[in-house]
Amino acid sequence: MRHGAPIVTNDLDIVHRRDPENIARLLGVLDAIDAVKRADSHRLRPTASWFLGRGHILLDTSAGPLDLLCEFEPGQDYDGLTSRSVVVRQGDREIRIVDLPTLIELKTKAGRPKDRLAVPILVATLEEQTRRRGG
Amino acid sequence: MALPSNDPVGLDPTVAAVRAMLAERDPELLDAIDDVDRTLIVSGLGRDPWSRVRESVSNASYLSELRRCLATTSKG
Repeated sequence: MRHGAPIVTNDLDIVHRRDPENIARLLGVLDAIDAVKRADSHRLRPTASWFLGRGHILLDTSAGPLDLLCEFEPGQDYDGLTSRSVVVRQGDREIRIVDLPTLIELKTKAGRPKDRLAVPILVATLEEQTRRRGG
Repeated sequence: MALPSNDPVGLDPTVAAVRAMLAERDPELLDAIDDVDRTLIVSGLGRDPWSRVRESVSNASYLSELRRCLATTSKG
């Protein structure tokens, strides 16, 4: 939606930097929003070790579903994706989001039905952005 | 499906690279691009990005409420 595509998703995906200091900050935020492992009857609360690996951590929080992605595939972690992202500002805050061509690539590679449904809309959005810039 | 050769968007290297990637990995999706209703995209691109996010949140709340109402009605 931030890129201009008329798509609404139910969850928020975050790719985090896997260093101890950042993960400590991340755990502080997750604690504040009562994050627990999704679809888990024990309602396990996340620990630092969860976020040091390579998998996807799916959480329920008081603010809604939240997916923490250690990496998409080898080399596509926070550091690998930084050069393929754009910074957006909201007041004094900066948020880094993957750029539209990268988002299209990631969803195409994911290949799940919900991702494939989004790809044509994202490509059309990229084309309309390009048209507006006079490309 | 390629853009018409006289369409400058099709000559943009980023768009061309994305279309080439799709042609290789999932060509069915190329055909689907032509079926996209672009009116909402064009309308959205003319507005402030954060207003689009706020509208998205509003739409999500509306859909949740609609789902809740439908579930309540079907139980009755």
